[in-house]
Amino acid sequence: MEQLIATFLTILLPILIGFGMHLLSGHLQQRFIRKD
Amino acid sequence: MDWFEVWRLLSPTVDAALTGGYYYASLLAIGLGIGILTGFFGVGGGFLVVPILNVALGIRYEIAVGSSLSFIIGTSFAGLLKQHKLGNVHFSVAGYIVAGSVLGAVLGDSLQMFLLTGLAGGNTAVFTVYMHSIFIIVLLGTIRAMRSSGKARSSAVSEAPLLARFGPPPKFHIREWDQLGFSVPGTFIVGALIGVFTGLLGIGGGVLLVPVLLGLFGLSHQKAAGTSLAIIFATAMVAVIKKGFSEVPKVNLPLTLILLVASVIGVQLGVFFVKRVSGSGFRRLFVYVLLAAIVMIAIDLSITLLSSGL
Repeated sequence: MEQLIATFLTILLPILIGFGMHLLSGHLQQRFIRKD
Repeated sequence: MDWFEVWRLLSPTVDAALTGGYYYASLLAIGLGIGILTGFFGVGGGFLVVPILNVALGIRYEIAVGSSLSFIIGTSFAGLLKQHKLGNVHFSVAGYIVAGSVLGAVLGDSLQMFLLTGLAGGNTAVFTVYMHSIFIIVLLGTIRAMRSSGKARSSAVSEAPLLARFGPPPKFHIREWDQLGFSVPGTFIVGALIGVFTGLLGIGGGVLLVPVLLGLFGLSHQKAAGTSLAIIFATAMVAVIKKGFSEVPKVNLPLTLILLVASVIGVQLGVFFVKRVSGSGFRRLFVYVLLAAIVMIAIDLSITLLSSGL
């Protein structure tokens, strides 16, 4: 059970950070376009 | 539920040469550097993460590989969301390749264990020599593949892609090449070969996949980039699952998360820098990065060979 949770976390947490990365780049791009 | 056991599984000993603040500062610097390269060249950077973690920080190869794959899940997911929004992901091609690459990733992990415990007999120095040598060969192959894909594109030939001309049936069809069929077994084998590199070396394989998608499937450059991210994401996920259920833990999550957070900042910097570089020098710059990685690994390989008396 512990191994299952640990493996799940090694996938889930990077996905969440990746999603945050996507949101951040979208946000910065929008700001950049608006400035243009 | 024993949460201490979960933490133990998530943070295996990395045997790093640096400790404390220096270790974390180095990880942040590496993450930032990889992020800049990702934003600049549009590559995952897995081919650099693993050797740098091993050579610069002395982290054991099997942990560097596992952690790099977990890192790749995050970076490829971010890229995949963006490419999917732009309509650049070719799901049928990705699906057929993923069928092979996930099998390849599992085989790659088993091959890594065979190299470590079987061929090297558990000797870390011997295992490092094997892994360094494979990395040098793969990076040299990448430079060669980049040169040939560049030539193929510049010649602008509209002939049938390689996998439509060769490869046994059954065949599948894609919109871009309506009248042609692509070999299902051929695609599966190509996927499996790339997957082996993912499981063995902890690289996403984007640097290998993009030339494959351009040359063998005749996809456009944008679709090749988007489709490769879908393949990398699925393959890295299966590889992490395989490593997660192995006897010894191979993913150090704190290490992965520090690299990822630092790379988020680095990617934005890379995107900023890329606007200031002309397109003509772009490919050459990337080759220089690959050559620098080869030199770094070759020096460490020589040191390992001399110091261990192999």
